[in-house]
Parts: sequence; C-alpha cells; structure tokens
Amino acid sequence: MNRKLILLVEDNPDDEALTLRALKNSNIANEVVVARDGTEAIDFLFGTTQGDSCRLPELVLLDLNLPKVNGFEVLKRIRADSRTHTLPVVILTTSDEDRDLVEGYKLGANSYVRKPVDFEEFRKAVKTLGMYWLVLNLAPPSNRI
Amino acid sequence: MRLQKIVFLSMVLLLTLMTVAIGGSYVLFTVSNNREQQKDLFKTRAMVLLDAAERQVLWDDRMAMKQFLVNEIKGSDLLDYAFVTVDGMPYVSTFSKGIPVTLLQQSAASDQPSVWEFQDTAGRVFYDIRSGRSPGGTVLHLGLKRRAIDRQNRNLIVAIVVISLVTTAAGILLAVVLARRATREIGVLADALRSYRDLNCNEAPAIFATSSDVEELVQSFKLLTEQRRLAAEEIQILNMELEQRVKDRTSQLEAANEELDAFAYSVSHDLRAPLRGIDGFSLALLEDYEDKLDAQGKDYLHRIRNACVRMGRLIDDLLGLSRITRGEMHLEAVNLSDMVRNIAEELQRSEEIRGVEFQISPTVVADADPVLIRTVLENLVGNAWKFTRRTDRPRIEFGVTGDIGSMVYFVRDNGAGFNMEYVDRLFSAFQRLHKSDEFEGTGIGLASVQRIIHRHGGRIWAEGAEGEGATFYFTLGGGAQ
Repeated sequence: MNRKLILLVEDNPDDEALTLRALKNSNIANEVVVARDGTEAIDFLFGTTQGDSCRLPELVLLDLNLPKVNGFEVLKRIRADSRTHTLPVVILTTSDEDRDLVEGYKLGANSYVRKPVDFEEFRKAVKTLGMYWLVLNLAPPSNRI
Repeated sequence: MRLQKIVFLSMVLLLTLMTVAIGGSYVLFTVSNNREQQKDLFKTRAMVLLDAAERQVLWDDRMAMKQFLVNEIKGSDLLDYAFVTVDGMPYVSTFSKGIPVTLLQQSAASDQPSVWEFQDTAGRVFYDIRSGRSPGGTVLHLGLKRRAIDRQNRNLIVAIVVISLVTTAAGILLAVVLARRATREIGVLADALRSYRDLNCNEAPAIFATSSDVEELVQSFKLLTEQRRLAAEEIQILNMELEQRVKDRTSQLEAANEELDAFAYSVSHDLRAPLRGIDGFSLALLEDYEDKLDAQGKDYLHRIRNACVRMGRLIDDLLGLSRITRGEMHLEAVNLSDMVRNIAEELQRSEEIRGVEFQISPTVVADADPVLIRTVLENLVGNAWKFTRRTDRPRIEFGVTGDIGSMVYFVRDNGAGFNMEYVDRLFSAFQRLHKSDEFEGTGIGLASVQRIIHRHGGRIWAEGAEGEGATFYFTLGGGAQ
C-alpha cells in the first residue's frame, strides 16, 4: 500500500467523526489512523502496536487536550526520536490561548490550526491542510515510503 | 570653645576688672586724702614750733635754735627745717649744705601760713610749710621729704595690691570651681542626651544630675525617648502587619487570577468542542438526509447552526474579555490618530460602498498599552461604523478635548444613538440597546472597552440621543492599575 498515511490524535469521538467527514468531503482519500489518547499515538508511532511493518504517517494531526499523555508530551516524544524527528506535525485543537500556541511552536510543531465551531469553516480548514501537507508540501526524504 | 572655658574666662575677666577698678579708685582717693592730712598736720606743727622757737628768735640765739631744731627732727618724719628772714635770707636751717637756692627763691614773703610743694635741685620734693612772721622778723619754713609721705602711701598701695592679688586669685579659684560646677551639669545633660538618643538601645545607663532642674530635664528626655521608642516599635509592628496583609491579599489575588485563568483555559477547550459537534452533525443531517427533511426540519437545523455560531462568538468574546483582565500591560507612547486612521481604512475596505466620512484629529498621542488601546478604538470606531449603517451621510469623528494632563478622547458618530435613560447599561456585558436583527453584536465590546480603560486608570462615559448619534468619551489616567 503506497497511500500516504495520516495519524489523527483525537480523544473526542464527535471531533473524530467530524474530522473524518471533513477529510472525506474534501476528497482526501488517504488512510487515517486514529489514536484516542497520547499513549495510543506513541504506541503507534514507535512500533508496539504494528508488529514488524512499522509504518510512519505522512502527517500527524494532533489535538492537545488528551487523556493520559497530552498533546505536548506526544509532540516532545516525536521530536526526540530520530525516526520521527522531521515528521510534519499539525496541532489541530480547540484552544487559541497564546501560551498553547507558543508552547506548540517551541516544541517543534509545523503548524497550528484552531478548529472553528462552524463546520463549514472547519471543513475548509481540513481541506486546506490536506492539500497543503499531502500534496503541495515536500516531506524530507527519510519520511518517504 | 568649651562652655567651661568660656564661663571661666569671662568670670576671670570680670573679677580682674572689678578688683582693678575698686583698688585703683581706693588708692587714688586715699593717697590724695593722706597728702591733705599730712599738710594739715605739718601746718599745725609749724605753728607749735614757731611758738616754741619764739624765745630763741627774740634772743637771736641761732646755735640754741639749731640744736633745738636738730633734736626736733630726730624721731619724726620731718626732713629739714629752715627759718628764712622776711627779706628772703637764710636765718637758721638744718640743711647740711645750706638752704637750697630754689627754696629761697620760691619762698615768697607772706604773713599767712601756707603749705606748698616744690622740688630742689637734687630732685627731692619738699613740702614747704611757711608760718607767719615771728616777733624776730623771721619766717619759718618747714621742709619734709616727699618720700616720707610716699612711704606711707607706698605701704598702702602695696597692701592694696596684695589684697587685690589675693582677691583675684581667690576669684580665679572661685571661677574655676563655679565653671566646673555649672558645666558639670551641662555635661551630665549631654551624657544623658547621648545615652538616651539611640532608640534601639533600651538599656541605657542611669544618669543622675546634682541639680533638680537638670535632673528634671534628664528625666523628661528619658521619658520622651522611651515614648519615641515605643511609638517606633508600634509603627514597626503595624508595618509588618500591613506587609503581611498585603502579602496575603496579593497571594489571594494571585490565586483568584490563577483560578480565572484555569477557568478561561478550560472554557476555551471544553465549551467549544460540543458546539462544533452540534453544528457539524446538524450540517451532516442537512447534507446527507436532505431528501428526508421537509422545509421546517431544514429551518430548525439552520436555526441550530446559527445558534451554535452565535454561541461560539459569545465564548470567543468572553475569553477576550477575560484576557484583557489577565494579561500584563506595557505602556508606551501610542499615536492614536494613526491607529484610528488604520482601523478606518480596514473598515472602508470591508464595505467600500458605505462611503462613511471620517474626521480624525491629527497626532493625538497617549501613553497606553498598544494592543489593548487598539481593542478600545476598534470597538468604539467599529460601533460607530455599525450604528451609522442606516444613516444618510454617515460621519465618524475622532478627537481630543481638555488640557494636557486631563486629556479627554472621544469617538462621535451621527448614527442610531441611544436613549440616555439606558446609559448605565451600555458598559455591562451582554447588555444590548438594539435588537440583534437591527444591529449585530454580542454585547461584550463596550464591557471590554470599559475594562481596558479602567486598567489604564481612566474613565469612560457616553452621551447620545436616539436617532441623533452617540459620543463616547474616555480618559487614560497615566496608566495606573
């Protein structure tokens, strides 16, 4: 399978459904793996759930407010590991607090997108994100599969 | 110069002057008095002598007369006697070398007894006492060396000088004692002041004065110092209490702020997520089940979505309001005119067909937090823009009145205005004076504006009339919190 993989880290099932719907509506047909908390995301990325076929995603859509291990912690782990060091991570969250923005970029997020309440705008944002990160943007060689 | 020395010197000077004055005047008086007395004495003596010598003169027995005179001189103060004839020739005298010429020349003939003083060629001073004419036609001259009188006087002077010296010495001694005595009390006082001066030292040595008045002073000062020390301690305690109270309040305030911060943070995260669900799934219904919904069902779903968006905006505005209260302020000189011009341009771009006339005073500068003051101006100018939507020839004015130090800035429009009856409700959160289908808005804007102005230590108020526009005035009170 040569499709580019998206890792969606999202604990809220409503938001998960809406994000998936927005992706589908935007004709982004990539495979999406959903991690429902930080631990799941880390397990997926660093191999404990995938067995041998360790597949790294092309893009991580990361929520911040997660149970167990929060989004910043996940981001820290991603940036600390040599395999995922250059992996594009987009923070996709409800908060627009300055400190979250600052902390996100400080820890090495590639982008920070706030989820709008209006679904139409949300859909627009997701579409733009997908177009940009999966089509327009060139990932560093090590991430290419 | 030390007090002791001053007292001593002035006393010595005074005493010396007094002694000299009294002694001197006494000497002068006594010496002249003595001389007069001597002269009287000699006069009497001359008379007696003349009577005694009468017989020898009669007999012209000059040898016997001279012997008589020599005997008479022995044991007396008299120096020499001289009898001179009426025509001024020597008759009998005790002068070993004869009567001095000067004496003869000066002893003018006279019938009356008199006494005068004169000097001979050897410099000796004589008192010449001339008696009247004797039966033999001679005149008696009695001579007395002044030294004899002076000796008396000299003794007197020496006595007085000695007494004066003794008195002065005693005076000096007295002066020393008095000066020490007087200044010792001053010293005691000075010691007491020095010992009790230090407020922190509450165990100063006890100091006692000899004189009651100085003792009273010392005790008064001790008491005063004690009172001052107690007062200082009390002030210190009060200060500490005050500091503690300020610390407590500050930490309470900090805790409250932290709670507010945490609350706002969770609102930001948790309140918006369900709204997005409601909106998203309503839209999903509208899109995926369009054929199963009638017009009314679709209308309800649209209403749900509108409500979601409105609530989303309310949450955003509320968060904005709380952010205004929480964030730190950085004051700097801000050009308000440029800011208003900038806001006006943005508004004009957003709705070019409106054709609102802006009238902006040039170079209005104020000390303010640039981010916060921009929120103020955006709200005020934005409101003016909004409420002139139904006005012909809309006009918005920004300017300043008042003096330096009490500047009043204002934003004026000729729009919908408001009823002054409701002016109190203008600045409360969620209070709106217009129907939302007339003019949109959440009712947070002016509450935020007021909060920012208050944080700058300023004041905001409004004037207006329905259909005649509104004017919002504000001051920026030097940035006090």
